Amino acid sequence: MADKKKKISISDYSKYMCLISIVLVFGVFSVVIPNFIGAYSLQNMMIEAAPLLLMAGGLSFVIYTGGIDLGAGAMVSCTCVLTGIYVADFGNLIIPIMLAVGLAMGLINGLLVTKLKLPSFIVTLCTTNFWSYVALTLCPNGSEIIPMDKRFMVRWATEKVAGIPIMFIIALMGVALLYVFQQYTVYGKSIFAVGANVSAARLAGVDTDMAQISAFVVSGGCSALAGAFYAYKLKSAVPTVGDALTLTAIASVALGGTSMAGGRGSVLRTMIGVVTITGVTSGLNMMGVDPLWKDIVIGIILIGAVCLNSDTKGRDLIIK
Amino acid sequence: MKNKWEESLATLSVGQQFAQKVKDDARKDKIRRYAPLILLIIMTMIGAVSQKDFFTWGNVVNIMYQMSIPLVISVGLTYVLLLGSIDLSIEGVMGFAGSFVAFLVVNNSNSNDFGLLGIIAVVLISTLIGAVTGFIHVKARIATFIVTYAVGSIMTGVAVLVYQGTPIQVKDELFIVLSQGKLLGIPYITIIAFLIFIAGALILNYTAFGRAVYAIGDNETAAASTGINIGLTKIKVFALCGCTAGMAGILQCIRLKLGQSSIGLNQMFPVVTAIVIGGGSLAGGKGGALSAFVGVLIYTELANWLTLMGVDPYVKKVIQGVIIIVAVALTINRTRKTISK
Repeated sequence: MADKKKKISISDYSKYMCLISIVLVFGVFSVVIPNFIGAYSLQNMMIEAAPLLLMAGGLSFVIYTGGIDLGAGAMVSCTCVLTGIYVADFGNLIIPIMLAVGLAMGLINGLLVTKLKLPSFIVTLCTTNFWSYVALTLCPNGSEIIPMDKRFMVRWATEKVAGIPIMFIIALMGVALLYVFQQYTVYGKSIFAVGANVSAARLAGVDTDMAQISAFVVSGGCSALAGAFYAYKLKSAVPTVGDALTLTAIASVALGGTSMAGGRGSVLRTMIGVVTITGVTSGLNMMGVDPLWKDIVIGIILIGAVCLNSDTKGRDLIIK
Repeated sequence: MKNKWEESLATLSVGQQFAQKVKDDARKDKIRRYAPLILLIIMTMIGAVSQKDFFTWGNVVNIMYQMSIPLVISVGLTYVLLLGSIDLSIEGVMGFAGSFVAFLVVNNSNSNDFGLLGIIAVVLISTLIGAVTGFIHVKARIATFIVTYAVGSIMTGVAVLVYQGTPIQVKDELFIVLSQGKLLGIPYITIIAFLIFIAGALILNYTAFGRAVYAIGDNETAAASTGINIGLTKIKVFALCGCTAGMAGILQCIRLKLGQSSIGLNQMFPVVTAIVIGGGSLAGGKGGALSAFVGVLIYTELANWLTLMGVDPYVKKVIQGVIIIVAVALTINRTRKTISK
């Protein structure tokens, strides 16, 4: 009986987990590290978090449908390379171009998942190979630096307005747009409906294929913008930048309290998850912890967060 | 096709319709079972025609050597795919096992000398990791791709931590003997791999546990109602997969005499491709040890062929991806109300 009581309280906490964890992380680190909440450190964290905010925000939509996009990191790498190489030719017009590229990538994923009825993790795992192929063949020597005389085009992104980096402001605007999409459009609503119960959604007249495709398209577009931001931030084309990001983005979404089984969650929760994860990584960095620990810590956070969010009530549901 | 079906609906009684349907399913199943074998024969014939010394003993041994590590991985992965789950942690566990075993035996960075004991310890730890993965999946009810993805990243991180950035070189006598020794012209690594594979095949086909895996993959609800302990079977399957991934990592370390996290890199994906080519289904319940063997053989011949034609390794990965998508799309059962997420 006591056991049962404990379980209920854990699932109650999971609703507020994102808030508890962010307070905990920033509280602990600001005690341990004196200038953790200093202007310089916060600005760095904002620049660090900006691309991840977009990426995880887009990825959330795929996770709302109960699917997953394991290719998000590779899409970031691919668009980072494309931006780094072609920004000299197109100037800042490259951002809308990349957005279009990303939407197309997402469309391919979405069509494969819905029209061929394949599991999303298989499709995205397979298409990952294609994006990283593009990234690696365009950048055979590891990474390409944006030429010095073209740097003025990309410098604005890391400039600050009232102490806040422009990149972070744009990312916040992106999250706001995603929030509007999620709350106030038919597509957003139908994405949640698909995640909660596909058959029921179909019976209720929701175009389930369209909802799934739009989720992947949003994810693709956001990943592409994140890739462009990485190129602006690093001032070079790095074909491996996204490799570790898929894990970080999924962990952020999970930490926010979005259910991996689909049907519930919010972009705002993801935003808090991203800030928390960025806080953890920067904090560990400032404490001088070996960066090799980063993947381990994020992996453990992911498992822990997913465990807390998982739906243990629907016992008859088969989980594979 | 549809016309024929409608016609049969009109003319046949319910019983006959059912018999017809069973017959159709059996025929489809037969095609699915024999298509990989036919593909293998065609590939071998193409190989024999395009390469003069394809059927020499030396080349056969060479192909067997190339397929040995994928074969070991395929043992555990076959079980996991039969359940309809996936194990994305194989690469991480392999990297960890390879790095840690190099750390435990005679090497150039510390004075450890555990020899065979070290190998056994690493296999046990890998099995334990697999069991923990399975336990989290079963008890916390999380989809396997997410648990195994996280565990894989954690293990890759641990692998790099073990050797602190500089890969460890193995100096152990046992490893050198195993990597260079041959029995009747067949390398020891190949022999070990085939023994592991045979053991896995026997467990799958002749034990209650193996049959339970099939039953769960085919219909979990039905399996549960016959009294199979679903949770325990699943945990055992993941433990087994961790075990074979660990062994594969150790074999890779023996082969390279170097312990680093990247020995697991790009090892899982080809084996998934191979099992799917061999007739396995990602939805579970279909496939088996023999079809995994055929799949790995087809894949090795294909990879061999692509390398000989000078295809870029990245293009090779793209081709793998296309093969998986096509193979899964062809074999997926759309007659049921499929929900793809």
